[in-house]
Amino acid sequence: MIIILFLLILLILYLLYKLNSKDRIIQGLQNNISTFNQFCDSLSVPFFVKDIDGKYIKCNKTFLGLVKKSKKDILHTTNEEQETLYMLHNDMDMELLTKDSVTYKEIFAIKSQKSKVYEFYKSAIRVDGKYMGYVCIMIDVTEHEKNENKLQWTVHQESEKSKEIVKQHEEEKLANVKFTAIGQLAAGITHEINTPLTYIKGNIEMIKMDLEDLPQSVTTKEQILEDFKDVQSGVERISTIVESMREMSQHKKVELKRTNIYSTLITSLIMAYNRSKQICKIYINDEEFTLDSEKSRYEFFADVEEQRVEQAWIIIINNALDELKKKPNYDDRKLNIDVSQNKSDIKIRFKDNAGGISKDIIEDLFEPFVSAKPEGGMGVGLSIAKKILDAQSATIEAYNENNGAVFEITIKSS
Amino acid sequence: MKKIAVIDDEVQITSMIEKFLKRDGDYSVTVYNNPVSALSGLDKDTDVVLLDIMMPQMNGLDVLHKLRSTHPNTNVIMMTAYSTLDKVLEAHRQGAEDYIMKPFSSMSIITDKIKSLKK
Repeated sequence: MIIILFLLILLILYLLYKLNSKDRIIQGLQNNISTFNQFCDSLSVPFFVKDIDGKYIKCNKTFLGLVKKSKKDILHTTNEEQETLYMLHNDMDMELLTKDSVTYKEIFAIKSQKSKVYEFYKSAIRVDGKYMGYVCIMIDVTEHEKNENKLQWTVHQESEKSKEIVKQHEEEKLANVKFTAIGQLAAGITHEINTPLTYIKGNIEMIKMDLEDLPQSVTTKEQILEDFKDVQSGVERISTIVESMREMSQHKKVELKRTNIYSTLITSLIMAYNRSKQICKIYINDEEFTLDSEKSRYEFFADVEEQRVEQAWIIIINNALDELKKKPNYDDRKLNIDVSQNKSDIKIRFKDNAGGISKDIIEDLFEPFVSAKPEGGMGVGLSIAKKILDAQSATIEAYNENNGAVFEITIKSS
Repeated sequence: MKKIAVIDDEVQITSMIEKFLKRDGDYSVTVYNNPVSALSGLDKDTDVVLLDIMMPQMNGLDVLHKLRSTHPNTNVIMMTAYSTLDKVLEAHRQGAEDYIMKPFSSMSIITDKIKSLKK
Protein backbone atom coordinates (compact mmCIF):
# COMPACT_ATOMS: atom_id res chain seq x y z
CA MET A 1 0.00 0.00 0.00
CA ILE A 2 2.76 2.30 1.03
CA ILE A 3 4.60 1.36 -2.13
CA ILE A 4 1.54 2.05 -4.28
CA LEU A 5 1.10 5.36 -2.52
CA PHE A 6 4.77 6.22 -3.09
CA LEU A 7 4.53 5.35 -6.81
CA LEU A 8 1.38 7.47 -7.06
CA ILE A 9 3.19 10.41 -5.46
CA LEU A 10 6.07 9.89 -7.90
CA LEU A 11 3.64 9.82 -10.81
CA ILE A 12 1.98 13.04 -9.63
CA LEU A 13 5.38 14.69 -9.16
CA TYR A 14 6.44 13.51 -12.64
CA LEU A 15 3.23 14.82 -14.24
CA LEU A 16 3.64 18.12 -12.38
CA TYR A 17 7.21 18.36 -13.61
CA LYS A 18 6.15 17.54 -17.18
CA LEU A 19 3.46 20.16 -17.03
CA ASN A 20 5.91 22.77 -15.77
CA SER A 21 8.53 22.12 -18.47
CA LYS A 22 5.92 22.38 -21.30
CA ASP A 23 4.95 25.78 -19.91
CA ARG A 24 8.57 26.74 -19.75
CA ILE A 25 9.08 25.66 -23.39
CA ILE A 26 6.01 27.58 -24.48
CA GLN A 27 7.13 30.46 -22.37
CA GLY A 28 10.59 30.21 -23.88
CA LEU A 29 9.23 30.04 -27.39
CA GLN A 30 7.04 33.05 -26.79
CA ASN A 31 10.04 34.89 -25.41
CA ASN A 32 12.01 34.03 -28.52
CA ILE A 33 9.24 35.21 -30.84
CA SER A 34 8.97 38.43 -28.94
CA THR A 35 12.76 38.93 -29.07
CA PHE A 36 12.66 38.20 -32.79
CA ASN A 37 9.84 40.70 -33.28
CA GLN A 38 11.72 43.30 -31.28
CA PHE A 39 14.79 42.57 -33.33
CA CYS A 40 12.84 43.00 -36.56
CA ASP A 41 11.23 46.23 -35.43
CA SER A 42 14.52 47.63 -34.33
CA LEU A 43 15.90 47.17 -37.88
CA SER A 44 16.16 50.61 -39.44
CA VAL A 45 15.65 49.15 -42.90
CA PRO A 46 12.32 47.80 -44.18
CA PHE A 47 11.97 44.07 -43.71
CA PHE A 48 9.26 41.64 -44.65
CA VAL A 49 8.58 37.95 -45.18
CA LYS A 50 6.25 36.53 -47.81
CA ASP A 51 4.90 33.04 -48.11
CA ILE A 52 4.73 30.86 -51.19
CA ASP A 53 1.51 32.59 -52.30
CA GLY A 54 3.14 36.00 -52.14
CA LYS A 55 1.27 37.01 -49.01
CA TYR A 56 2.97 39.10 -46.36
CA ILE A 57 3.37 37.00 -43.27
CA LYS A 58 5.74 39.24 -41.38
CA CYS A 59 7.07 42.79 -41.60
CA ASN A 60 8.71 45.31 -39.35
CA LYS A 61 7.71 48.79 -38.26
CA THR A 62 10.05 50.48 -40.71
CA PHE A 63 8.31 48.68 -43.57
CA LEU A 64 4.90 49.65 -42.25
CA GLY A 65 6.11 53.23 -41.97
CA LEU A 66 7.31 53.12 -45.52
CA VAL A 67 4.10 51.75 -47.02
CA LYS A 68 1.92 53.79 -44.67
CA LYS A 69 -0.10 50.77 -43.60
CA SER A 70 -0.92 49.05 -40.35
CA LYS A 71 0.13 45.50 -39.67
CA LYS A 72 -3.47 44.41 -39.81
CA ASP A 73 -3.93 45.90 -43.31
CA ILE A 74 -0.91 44.33 -44.80
CA LEU A 75 -0.44 40.89 -43.29
CA HIS A 76 -1.98 37.98 -45.22
CA THR A 77 -2.47 40.15 -48.31
CA THR A 78 -0.60 40.24 -51.60
CA ASN A 79 0.64 43.34 -53.45
CA GLU A 80 -2.16 42.90 -55.96
CA GLU A 81 -4.60 43.40 -53.16
CA GLN A 82 -2.87 46.61 -51.98
CA GLU A 83 -4.24 49.29 -54.28
CA THR A 84 -1.84 51.98 -53.25
CA LEU A 85 1.29 49.88 -53.21
CA TYR A 86 3.23 49.34 -56.37
CA MET A 87 5.79 46.68 -55.80
CA LEU A 88 5.04 44.01 -58.34
CA HIS A 89 8.32 42.30 -58.68
CA ASN A 90 6.85 38.92 -59.47
CA ASP A 91 9.45 38.08 -62.09
CA MET A 92 12.22 38.47 -59.55
CA ASP A 93 10.24 36.52 -56.96
CA MET A 94 9.85 33.65 -59.39
CA GLU A 95 13.60 33.39 -59.65
CA LEU A 96 13.72 32.42 -55.99
CA LEU A 97 12.07 29.11 -56.86
CA THR A 98 15.40 28.02 -58.25
CA LYS A 99 17.86 30.43 -56.63
CA ASP A 100 18.81 30.98 -53.00
CA SER A 101 18.78 34.75 -53.30
CA VAL A 102 18.24 37.65 -55.65
CA THR A 103 19.35 41.26 -55.43
CA TYR A 104 18.07 44.04 -57.61
CA LYS A 105 17.43 47.74 -57.72
CA GLU A 106 13.99 49.11 -58.37
CA ILE A 107 12.07 52.34 -58.06
CA PHE A 108 9.64 52.05 -55.20
CA ALA A 109 6.60 54.23 -55.56
CA ILE A 110 3.68 54.80 -53.27
CA LYS A 111 0.75 56.82 -54.48
CA SER A 112 1.16 60.56 -53.83
CA GLN A 113 4.67 60.17 -52.50
CA LYS A 114 8.04 60.89 -53.97
CA SER A 115 9.38 57.71 -55.49
CA LYS A 116 12.62 56.31 -54.16
CA VAL A 117 15.11 53.79 -55.38
CA TYR A 118 15.59 50.71 -53.24
CA GLU A 119 17.88 47.78 -53.43
CA PHE A 120 15.97 44.58 -52.65
CA TYR A 121 17.83 41.69 -51.01
CA LYS A 122 15.63 38.59 -51.11
CA SER A 123 16.52 35.17 -49.74
CA ALA A 124 14.44 32.05 -50.25
CA ILE A 125 13.12 30.10 -47.23
CA ARG A 126 13.19 26.34 -47.74
CA VAL A 127 12.04 23.66 -45.32
CA ASP A 128 13.31 20.21 -46.17
CA GLY A 129 14.18 21.53 -49.62
CA LYS A 130 10.67 22.80 -50.23
CA TYR A 131 10.24 26.49 -51.11
CA MET A 132 8.11 28.22 -48.50
CA GLY A 133 8.55 31.91 -49.31
CA TYR A 134 11.22 34.51 -48.87
CA VAL A 135 12.70 37.10 -46.56
CA CYS A 136 13.39 40.57 -47.94
CA ILE A 137 15.40 43.54 -46.75
CA MET A 138 15.13 46.86 -48.59
CA ILE A 139 17.96 49.41 -48.63
CA ASP A 140 17.26 53.00 -49.69
CA VAL A 141 19.82 53.89 -52.37
CA THR A 142 18.10 57.04 -53.70
CA GLU A 143 20.89 59.40 -52.62
CA HIS A 144 23.54 57.04 -53.86
CA GLU A 145 21.77 56.80 -57.21
CA LYS A 146 21.46 60.56 -57.39
CA ASN A 147 25.15 60.94 -56.68
CA GLU A 148 26.01 58.30 -59.18
CA ASN A 149 23.78 59.93 -61.74
CA LYS A 150 25.32 63.28 -60.90
CA LEU A 151 28.75 61.76 -61.26
CA GLN A 152 27.82 60.17 -64.56
CA TRP A 153 26.30 63.44 -65.69
CA THR A 154 29.45 65.32 -64.68
CA VAL A 155 31.62 62.78 -66.46
CA HIS A 156 29.32 63.05 -69.47
CA GLN A 157 29.45 66.84 -69.39
CA GLU A 158 33.22 66.90 -68.99
CA SER A 159 33.65 64.57 -71.91
CA GLU A 160 31.21 66.67 -73.96
CA LYS A 161 33.17 69.78 -72.98
CA SER A 162 36.48 68.31 -74.03
CA LYS A 163 34.87 67.13 -77.25
CA GLU A 164 33.65 70.70 -77.76
CA ILE A 165 37.15 72.07 -77.10
CA VAL A 166 38.66 69.64 -79.60
CA LYS A 167 35.98 70.67 -82.09
CA GLN A 168 36.70 74.34 -81.45
CA HIS A 169 40.41 73.78 -81.96
CA GLU A 170 39.67 72.04 -85.22
CA GLU A 171 37.40 74.89 -86.28
CA GLU A 172 40.01 77.46 -85.29
CA LYS A 173 42.63 75.58 -87.25
CA LEU A 174 40.35 75.47 -90.25
CA ALA A 175 39.48 79.14 -89.83
CA ASN A 176 43.18 79.98 -89.63
CA VAL A 177 43.88 78.05 -92.80
CA LYS A 178 40.97 79.79 -94.50
CA PHE A 179 42.05 83.16 -93.15
CA THR A 180 45.62 82.61 -94.29
CA ALA A 181 44.38 81.66 -97.75
CA ILE A 182 42.06 84.67 -97.92
CA GLY A 183 44.87 86.88 -96.60
CA GLN A 184 47.30 85.69 -99.22
CA LEU A 185 44.69 86.13 -101.90
CA ALA A 186 43.82 89.62 -100.63
CA ALA A 187 47.50 90.59 -100.46
CA GLY A 188 48.03 89.38 -104.01
CA ILE A 189 44.92 91.08 -105.34
CA THR A 190 45.69 94.32 -103.50
CA HIS A 191 49.18 94.46 -104.90
CA GLU A 192 48.09 93.60 -108.42
CA ILE A 193 45.24 96.12 -108.46
CA ASN A 194 47.29 98.85 -106.85
CA THR A 195 49.84 98.85 -109.64
CA PRO A 196 47.49 99.71 -112.56
CA LEU A 197 45.45 101.84 -110.19
CA THR A 198 48.56 103.95 -109.59
CA TYR A 199 48.96 104.89 -113.21
CA ILE A 200 45.25 105.19 -113.93
CA LYS A 201 44.83 107.52 -110.98
CA GLY A 202 48.04 109.44 -111.70
CA ASN A 203 47.28 109.88 -115.36
CA ILE A 204 43.72 110.98 -114.69
CA GLU A 205 45.16 113.62 -112.40
CA MET A 206 47.57 114.76 -115.07
CA ILE A 207 44.90 114.79 -117.81
CA LYS A 208 42.86 116.96 -115.51
CA MET A 209 45.80 119.31 -115.11
CA ASP A 210 46.17 119.43 -118.90
CA LEU A 211 42.46 120.09 -119.31
CA GLU A 212 42.60 122.90 -116.83
CA ASP A 213 45.51 124.36 -118.76
CA LEU A 214 43.40 124.51 -121.94
CA PRO A 215 42.32 128.01 -122.89
CA GLN A 216 38.75 128.95 -121.94
CA SER A 217 38.03 129.32 -125.65
CA VAL A 218 37.86 125.56 -126.08
CA THR A 219 34.12 125.16 -125.94
CA THR A 220 34.04 121.61 -124.68
CA LYS A 221 36.48 122.24 -121.80
CA GLU A 222 33.84 122.67 -119.10
CA GLN A 223 31.91 119.67 -120.32
CA ILE A 224 34.99 117.43 -120.31
CA LEU A 225 36.01 118.63 -116.85
CA GLU A 226 32.49 117.90 -115.60
CA ASP A 227 32.54 114.39 -117.08
CA PHE A 228 35.92 113.89 -115.56
CA LYS A 229 34.61 114.27 -112.03
CA ASP A 230 32.79 110.95 -112.28
CA VAL A 231 35.82 109.17 -113.70
CA GLN A 232 37.91 110.48 -110.84
CA SER A 233 35.38 109.63 -108.13
CA GLY A 234 35.00 106.14 -109.57
CA VAL A 235 38.73 105.56 -109.37
CA GLU A 236 38.78 106.97 -105.83
CA ARG A 237 36.10 104.49 -104.90
CA ILE A 238 38.13 101.59 -106.22
CA SER A 239 41.15 102.86 -104.29
CA THR A 240 39.10 102.93 -101.09
CA ILE A 241 37.91 99.39 -101.56
CA VAL A 242 41.42 98.12 -102.22
CA GLU A 243 42.68 100.10 -99.25
CA SER A 244 40.07 98.47 -97.03
CA MET A 245 41.48 95.08 -97.94
CA ARG A 246 44.74 96.03 -96.30
CA GLU A 247 44.17 94.56 -92.92
CA MET A 248 42.74 91.39 -94.42
CA SER A 249 45.94 90.87 -96.31
CA GLN A 250 47.86 90.85 -93.05
CA HIS A 251 48.03 87.12 -93.57
CA LYS A 252 50.95 86.15 -91.44
CA LYS A 253 50.32 85.98 -87.75
CA VAL A 254 53.58 87.14 -86.29
CA GLU A 255 54.43 85.96 -82.82
CA LEU A 256 54.15 88.47 -80.03
CA LYS A 257 57.55 89.64 -78.88
CA ARG A 258 58.61 91.60 -75.82
CA THR A 259 59.02 95.07 -77.31
CA ASN A 260 59.86 98.53 -76.02
CA ILE A 261 56.74 100.52 -76.91
CA TYR A 262 58.65 103.80 -76.60
CA SER A 263 61.09 102.68 -79.26
CA THR A 264 58.23 101.68 -81.63
CA LEU A 265 56.86 105.21 -81.23
CA ILE A 266 60.23 106.74 -82.12
CA THR A 267 60.47 104.49 -85.22
CA SER A 268 57.01 105.59 -86.31
CA LEU A 269 57.85 109.24 -85.69
CA ILE A 270 60.97 108.87 -87.84
CA MET A 271 58.84 107.30 -90.56
CA ALA A 272 56.40 110.19 -90.42
CA TYR A 273 59.10 112.85 -89.98
CA ASN A 274 59.35 113.99 -93.59
CA ARG A 275 55.72 114.91 -93.41
CA SER A 276 55.50 116.03 -89.81
CA LYS A 277 58.39 118.47 -89.96
CA GLN A 278 56.38 120.61 -92.37
CA ILE A 279 53.27 120.48 -90.25
CA CYS A 280 54.14 120.77 -86.58
CA LYS A 281 56.45 120.00 -83.72
CA ILE A 282 55.86 116.70 -81.99
CA TYR A 283 56.63 116.17 -78.32
CA ILE A 284 57.11 112.75 -76.80
CA ASN A 285 57.10 112.65 -73.02
CA ASP A 286 57.56 116.42 -73.05
CA GLU A 287 60.70 116.36 -75.18
CA GLU A 288 60.65 117.58 -78.76
CA PHE A 289 61.06 114.74 -81.20
CA THR A 290 64.01 114.99 -83.60
CA LEU A 291 65.73 112.44 -85.80
CA ASP A 292 68.32 112.16 -83.04
CA SER A 293 65.79 111.13 -80.41
CA GLU A 294 67.12 108.11 -78.57
CA LYS A 295 64.94 105.00 -79.05
CA SER A 296 65.75 103.51 -75.68
CA ARG A 297 65.51 106.71 -73.68
CA TYR A 298 62.52 105.20 -71.87
CA GLU A 299 61.50 101.59 -71.49
CA PHE A 300 57.91 100.40 -71.53
CA PHE A 301 57.80 96.72 -72.41
CA ALA A 302 54.80 94.85 -73.79
CA ASP A 303 54.29 91.66 -75.80
CA VAL A 304 53.26 92.88 -79.24
CA GLU A 305 53.84 92.44 -82.96
CA GLU A 306 56.43 95.18 -83.32
CA GLN A 307 55.92 96.16 -86.94
CA ARG A 308 52.17 96.10 -86.83
CA VAL A 309 52.15 98.30 -83.75
CA GLU A 310 54.45 100.74 -85.56
CA GLN A 311 51.96 100.77 -88.42
CA ALA A 312 49.17 101.62 -86.01
CA TRP A 313 51.17 104.56 -84.57
CA ILE A 314 51.94 105.82 -88.09
CA ILE A 315 48.23 105.79 -88.91
CA ILE A 316 47.35 107.66 -85.72
CA ILE A 317 50.18 110.18 -86.20
CA ASN A 318 49.27 110.79 -89.86
CA ASN A 319 45.65 111.18 -88.86
CA ALA A 320 46.63 113.87 -86.35
CA LEU A 321 48.87 115.56 -88.93
CA ASP A 322 45.97 115.67 -91.42
CA GLU A 323 43.85 117.46 -88.85
CA LEU A 324 46.63 119.80 -87.71
CA LYS A 325 47.32 120.81 -91.30
CA LYS A 326 43.92 122.47 -91.37
CA LYS A 327 45.20 125.11 -88.94
CA PRO A 328 46.87 127.95 -90.82
CA ASN A 329 49.93 128.58 -88.65
CA TYR A 330 52.77 126.17 -88.01
CA ASP A 331 53.38 127.59 -84.56
CA ASP A 332 49.77 127.01 -83.48
CA ARG A 333 49.96 123.28 -84.19
CA LYS A 334 51.16 120.75 -81.68
CA LEU A 335 51.07 117.00 -81.18
CA ASN A 336 51.91 115.53 -77.79
CA ILE A 337 52.60 111.89 -77.23
CA ASP A 338 52.78 110.65 -73.66
CA VAL A 339 53.76 107.18 -72.61
CA SER A 340 53.25 106.16 -69.01
CA GLN A 341 52.89 103.00 -67.02
CA ASN A 342 50.98 101.97 -63.95
CA LYS A 343 51.23 98.53 -62.37
CA SER A 344 50.16 96.37 -65.26
CA ASP A 345 49.25 98.71 -68.11
CA ILE A 346 51.10 100.96 -70.49
CA LYS A 347 49.15 104.03 -71.54
CA ILE A 348 49.94 105.90 -74.75
CA ARG A 349 48.20 109.22 -75.38
CA PHE A 350 48.30 111.08 -78.68
CA LYS A 351 46.94 114.54 -78.11
CA ASP A 352 46.68 117.23 -80.76
CA ASN A 353 45.28 120.76 -80.65
CA ALA A 354 43.49 120.66 -83.98
CA GLY A 355 40.04 121.41 -82.60
CA GLY A 356 38.85 117.93 -81.71
CA ILE A 357 36.88 115.23 -83.45
CA SER A 358 33.54 116.24 -84.92
CA LYS A 359 30.51 115.00 -83.01
CA ASP A 360 29.11 113.49 -86.20
CA ILE A 361 31.85 110.92 -86.52
CA ILE A 362 33.23 110.43 -83.00
CA GLU A 363 30.92 107.47 -82.33
CA ASP A 364 31.92 105.57 -85.47
CA LEU A 365 35.49 106.80 -85.67
CA PHE A 366 36.96 103.32 -85.80
CA GLU A 367 34.48 102.02 -88.34
CA PRO A 368 35.80 101.68 -91.90
CA PHE A 369 34.92 104.42 -94.41
CA VAL A 370 34.44 107.10 -91.77
CA SER A 371 36.48 110.18 -92.54
CA ALA A 372 36.63 113.82 -91.61
CA LYS A 373 38.81 114.75 -94.54
CA PRO A 374 36.93 116.98 -96.98
CA GLU A 375 39.26 116.08 -99.83
CA GLY A 376 38.15 112.49 -99.37
CA GLY A 377 40.38 110.53 -97.08
CA MET A 378 40.26 106.79 -97.44
CA GLY A 379 38.47 106.54 -94.14
CA VAL A 380 40.00 103.18 -93.42
CA GLY A 381 43.12 104.21 -91.54
CA LEU A 382 41.79 104.33 -88.00
CA SER A 383 39.76 101.16 -88.48
CA ILE A 384 43.00 99.42 -89.44
CA ALA A 385 44.81 100.90 -86.42
CA LYS A 386 42.06 99.57 -84.20
CA LYS A 387 42.20 96.11 -85.76
CA ILE A 388 45.96 96.01 -85.26
CA LEU A 389 45.62 97.07 -81.62
CA ASP A 390 42.78 94.60 -81.03
CA ALA A 391 45.13 91.85 -82.14
CA GLN A 392 47.57 92.91 -79.42
CA SER A 393 44.75 92.86 -76.83
CA ALA A 394 45.20 96.60 -76.58
CA THR A 395 42.32 99.05 -76.34
CA ILE A 396 41.98 102.36 -78.12
CA GLU A 397 39.57 105.15 -77.36
CA ALA A 398 39.16 108.59 -78.77
CA TYR A 399 37.78 111.67 -77.07
CA ASN A 400 38.12 115.43 -77.12
CA GLU A 401 40.04 117.41 -74.56
CA ASN A 402 41.00 121.12 -74.45
CA ASN A 403 40.29 121.90 -78.07
CA GLY A 404 41.97 118.79 -79.41
CA ALA A 405 41.55 115.08 -80.00
CA VAL A 406 43.02 112.42 -77.74
CA PHE A 407 43.70 108.88 -78.85
CA GLU A 408 44.38 106.79 -75.79
CA ILE A 409 45.78 103.30 -76.06
CA THR A 410 46.16 100.85 -73.22
CA ILE A 411 48.41 97.82 -73.57
CA LYS A 412 49.20 95.20 -70.96
CA SER A 413 52.83 95.53 -69.94
CA SER A 414 55.21 92.58 -69.78
CA MET B 1 68.12 121.09 -111.03
CA LYS B 2 67.63 117.94 -108.98
CA LYS B 3 68.66 114.63 -110.50
CA ILE B 4 65.96 112.04 -109.97
CA ALA B 5 66.00 108.36 -110.93
CA VAL B 6 62.86 106.24 -111.00
CA ILE B 7 63.34 102.47 -110.66
CA ASP B 8 60.17 100.47 -111.27
CA ASP B 9 59.51 97.50 -113.54
CA GLU B 10 56.16 98.98 -114.61
CA VAL B 11 56.74 101.12 -117.69
CA GLN B 12 53.45 102.96 -117.26
CA ILE B 13 54.45 104.06 -113.80
CA THR B 14 57.97 105.21 -114.64
CA SER B 15 56.76 107.15 -117.69
CA MET B 16 53.95 108.74 -115.70
CA ILE B 17 56.30 109.88 -112.92
CA GLU B 18 58.79 111.12 -115.53
CA LYS B 19 56.08 113.14 -117.27
CA PHE B 20 54.88 114.58 -114.00
CA LEU B 21 58.34 115.59 -112.76
CA LYS B 22 59.31 117.10 -116.10
CA ARG B 23 56.07 119.02 -116.12
CA ASP B 24 57.15 120.60 -112.86
CA GLY B 25 60.29 121.61 -114.71
CA ASP B 26 62.87 121.55 -111.99
CA TYR B 27 64.00 117.96 -112.33
CA SER B 28 66.15 115.88 -114.62
CA VAL B 29 64.69 112.40 -114.68
CA THR B 30 66.17 109.03 -115.61
CA VAL B 31 63.97 105.95 -115.54
CA TYR B 32 64.96 102.32 -115.19
CA ASN B 33 62.57 99.44 -115.70
CA ASN B 34 65.19 96.94 -114.68
CA PRO B 35 66.87 97.27 -111.26
CA VAL B 36 70.01 95.48 -112.40
CA SER B 37 70.69 98.02 -115.15
CA ALA B 38 69.83 100.78 -112.68
CA LEU B 39 72.56 99.62 -110.29
CA SER B 40 75.16 99.63 -113.04
CA GLY B 41 73.98 102.81 -114.75
CA LEU B 42 72.94 105.10 -111.93
CA ASP B 43 74.90 108.36 -111.79
CA LYS B 44 76.89 108.96 -108.60
CA ASP B 45 75.44 112.42 -108.19
CA THR B 46 71.81 111.32 -108.35
CA ASP B 47 69.93 113.26 -105.67
CA VAL B 48 66.88 111.09 -105.22
CA VAL B 49 65.94 107.55 -106.23
CA LEU B 50 62.28 106.60 -106.31
CA LEU B 51 62.51 102.85 -105.81
CA ASP B 52 59.74 100.28 -106.12
CA ILE B 53 59.82 97.45 -103.60
CA MET B 54 58.36 94.63 -105.64
CA MET B 55 60.22 93.98 -108.87
CA PRO B 56 60.66 90.65 -110.63
CA GLN B 57 64.37 90.84 -111.38
CA MET B 58 65.52 92.09 -108.02
CA ASN B 59 63.75 93.03 -104.83
CA GLY B 60 63.73 96.78 -104.05
CA LEU B 61 65.16 96.08 -100.59
CA ASP B 62 68.19 94.38 -102.15
CA VAL B 63 68.64 97.32 -104.55
CA LEU B 64 68.48 99.67 -101.55
CA HIS B 65 71.07 97.61 -99.71
CA LYS B 66 73.50 97.90 -102.65
CA LEU B 67 72.76 101.57 -103.22
CA ARG B 68 73.66 102.39 -99.62
CA SER B 69 77.25 101.41 -100.28
CA THR B 70 77.57 102.54 -103.92
CA HIS B 71 75.60 105.80 -103.64
CA PRO B 72 75.86 106.96 -100.03
CA ASN B 73 74.75 110.52 -100.85
CA THR B 74 71.64 109.54 -102.74
CA ASN B 75 68.30 109.77 -100.96
CA VAL B 76 66.01 106.82 -101.46
CA ILE B 77 62.25 107.02 -101.38
CA MET B 78 60.56 103.63 -101.48
CA MET B 79 57.37 103.10 -103.44
CA THR B 80 55.08 100.24 -102.56
CA ALA B 81 51.85 98.77 -103.78
CA TYR B 82 51.95 96.39 -100.84
CA SER B 83 49.03 96.81 -98.57
CA THR B 84 51.04 96.71 -95.37
CA LEU B 85 53.96 98.72 -94.16
CA ASP B 86 56.26 95.93 -93.04
CA LYS B 87 58.44 96.10 -96.15
CA VAL B 88 58.59 99.88 -95.79
CA LEU B 89 59.64 99.59 -92.16
CA GLU B 90 62.29 97.13 -93.20
CA ALA B 91 63.51 99.59 -95.86
CA HIS B 92 63.56 102.33 -93.28
CA ARG B 93 65.82 100.20 -91.09
CA GLN B 94 68.12 99.75 -94.07
CA GLY B 95 68.38 103.49 -94.58
CA ALA B 96 65.55 104.54 -96.89
CA GLU B 97 64.60 108.15 -96.23
CA ASP B 98 60.90 107.96 -96.95
CA TYR B 99 58.15 106.00 -98.61
CA ILE B 100 55.13 106.55 -100.85
CA MET B 101 52.18 104.19 -100.96
CA LYS B 102 50.71 103.19 -104.30
CA PRO B 103 48.34 104.35 -105.58
CA PHE B 104 49.58 107.86 -104.81
CA SER B 105 47.07 109.94 -102.88
CA SER B 106 47.91 112.62 -105.42
CA MET B 107 50.78 113.09 -107.85
CA SER B 108 52.05 116.06 -105.89
CA ILE B 109 52.96 113.73 -103.04
CA ILE B 110 56.06 112.80 -105.09
CA THR B 111 57.33 116.36 -105.29
CA ASP B 112 56.30 117.00 -101.68
CA LYS B 113 58.39 114.08 -100.53
CA ILE B 114 61.36 115.08 -102.68
CA LYS B 115 61.23 118.67 -101.43
CA SER B 116 61.09 117.59 -97.79
CA LEU B 117 64.22 115.48 -97.92
CA LYS B 118 66.95 116.51 -95.49
CA LYS B 119 70.02 116.11 -97.69
